[in-house]
Amino acid sequence: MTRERATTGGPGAPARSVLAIPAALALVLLLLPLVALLSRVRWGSLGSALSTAGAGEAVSLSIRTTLTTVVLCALLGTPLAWVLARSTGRWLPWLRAVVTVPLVLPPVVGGVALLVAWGREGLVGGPIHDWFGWTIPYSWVRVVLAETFVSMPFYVLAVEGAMRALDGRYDAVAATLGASPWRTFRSVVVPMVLPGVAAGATLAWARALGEFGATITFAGSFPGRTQTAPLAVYQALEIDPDAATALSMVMLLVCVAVLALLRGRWWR
Amino acid sequence: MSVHLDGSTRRGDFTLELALDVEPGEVVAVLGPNGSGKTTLVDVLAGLTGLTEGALSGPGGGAGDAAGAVGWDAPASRTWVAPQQRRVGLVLADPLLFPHLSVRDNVAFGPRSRGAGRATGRRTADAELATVGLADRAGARPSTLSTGQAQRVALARALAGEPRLLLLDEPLSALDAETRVTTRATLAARLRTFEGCTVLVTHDPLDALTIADRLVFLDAGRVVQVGTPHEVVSRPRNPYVARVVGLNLWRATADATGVVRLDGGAAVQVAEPPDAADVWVTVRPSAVALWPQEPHGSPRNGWRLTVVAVELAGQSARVSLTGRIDLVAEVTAASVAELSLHPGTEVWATVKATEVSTYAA
Repeated sequence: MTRERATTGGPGAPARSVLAIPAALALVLLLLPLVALLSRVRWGSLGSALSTAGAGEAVSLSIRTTLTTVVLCALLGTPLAWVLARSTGRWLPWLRAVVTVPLVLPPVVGGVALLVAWGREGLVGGPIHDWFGWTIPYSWVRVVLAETFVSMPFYVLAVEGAMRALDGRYDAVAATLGASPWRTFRSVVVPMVLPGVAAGATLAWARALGEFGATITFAGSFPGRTQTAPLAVYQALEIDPDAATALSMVMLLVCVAVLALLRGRWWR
Repeated sequence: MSVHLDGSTRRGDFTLELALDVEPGEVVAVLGPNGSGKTTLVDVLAGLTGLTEGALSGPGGGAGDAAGAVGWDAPASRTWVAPQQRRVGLVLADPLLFPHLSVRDNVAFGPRSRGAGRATGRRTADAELATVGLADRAGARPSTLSTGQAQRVALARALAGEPRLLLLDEPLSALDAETRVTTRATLAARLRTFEGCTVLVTHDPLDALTIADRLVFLDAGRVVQVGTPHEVVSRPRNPYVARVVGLNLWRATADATGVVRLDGGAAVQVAEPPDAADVWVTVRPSAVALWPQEPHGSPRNGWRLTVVAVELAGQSARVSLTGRIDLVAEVTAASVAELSLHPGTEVWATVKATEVSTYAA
């Protein structure tokens, strides 16, 4: 597969105009911290620094919870996106606004909201505790709840965009061919918006991986149970800066690897 | 097992009065200018839009009466049969094949949706593809087909579900001229063996005249004329219909002495006095003769008119004229040059009394 190579010498050649200055500045702002991070890594003592930070447990917890989050988003968010994309009710703008709220809400506030919903004294968690004597434990379950809360809007908005761009006459033709709404969704809509689903899943996954505020508020930072990689980095920074940079670099590598894997497939 | 529609629906603040009857095995063509409600009619029949008043009954899906007709849509009695239960086949101007499925799986989609197994679906699809001459492309991806092939696959897909009502909404309009001829032939041949009801929406009179058994003309959201192709071609009853079939048409009144006076005021001489007071008057464009000066001789109708437009088609030309009456004349390309016809030219137009036909309105 050949890819068109971007040229800077074309007719417009914006790279040779005054626009090059702010563009370069933007690049510096983006790249400088990453370069600094790599420059601070002590490659010799990388192994011991990582074990000090509890990197293995944290990274593995992060990967497990973020993947669970993406699966939850896909299972529940895809139908929601389809409902939003094809409904015409007067309530629709409100519903869409509700879906967008966690997107702009400060994550810590999201964590507080999750506490008062699912916590021991929460709106739902309270009655559950009263009747069954059970509370959601401080484990990966809380981490996944927090990550799903902040990631779902990214997934739903990306997939809904793709679904709204899908010509409605495809649904009409499928319906006249005898397909139930479920079969139309499963056999026509989802296969046709797969690139949108992939983009949404990537966005949701990236958001979940970086999740900090809602997780620490709602699930705490218990090593091995709820301490995801970002929480571990933050904690390591207070104890051993070398361990923090080492773990940060591991996360950077994971992100770059995932982006590189996806790039060839979906972002041409 | 027929389709019977009599009702209305709203599109924006515009109400469409829809009436249509289709018998099994019959092809009804629906013609009308843009915005006349053709596509809304298809949507109502397919179940993609509901009626606001009236009733629609169709052939099958749900519990039917003794004759097999089923109430599909009747707002008054809250009757509503969803599209997937109506046994309708839909073909639009764009083939809209599912791009992620092979040609065979596209055609098998209908049977599979209605519960057929994988093997049965494939067999049905292959048989249906053979009838449109595409058996060899069954394994292909839709993106590798030409537009004409894709539209034939769309037809096969619509028919593979054994619909009792086939809806064709401008099925040939997106094809280039050459492909249209062959695809029209495939369509006509396939429809001859189709036992269900067919509704063909088109703006091309040729489709309508070659494929349809009956024509329905819509204008501004209501039915303006229904008839066999022969009736419609010889006796249009609406200016749009007359334009489609290429006739000059005027509304006129005849008095007791047999003088026919057009609504614009001009009197027309006819060979036989009409037997009604309120009549339509038609003149074939080819019956109009054009002269540089007022001609003398046999009794005929003559008007001094101004050329508005000249359109050349091969060796003949259609000349639109205006003045005391609006008239279209068809003359040879040679006379266009001879009379130097161009917009603004003044000519005399004559029509023999025997070439004027009248019929009751």
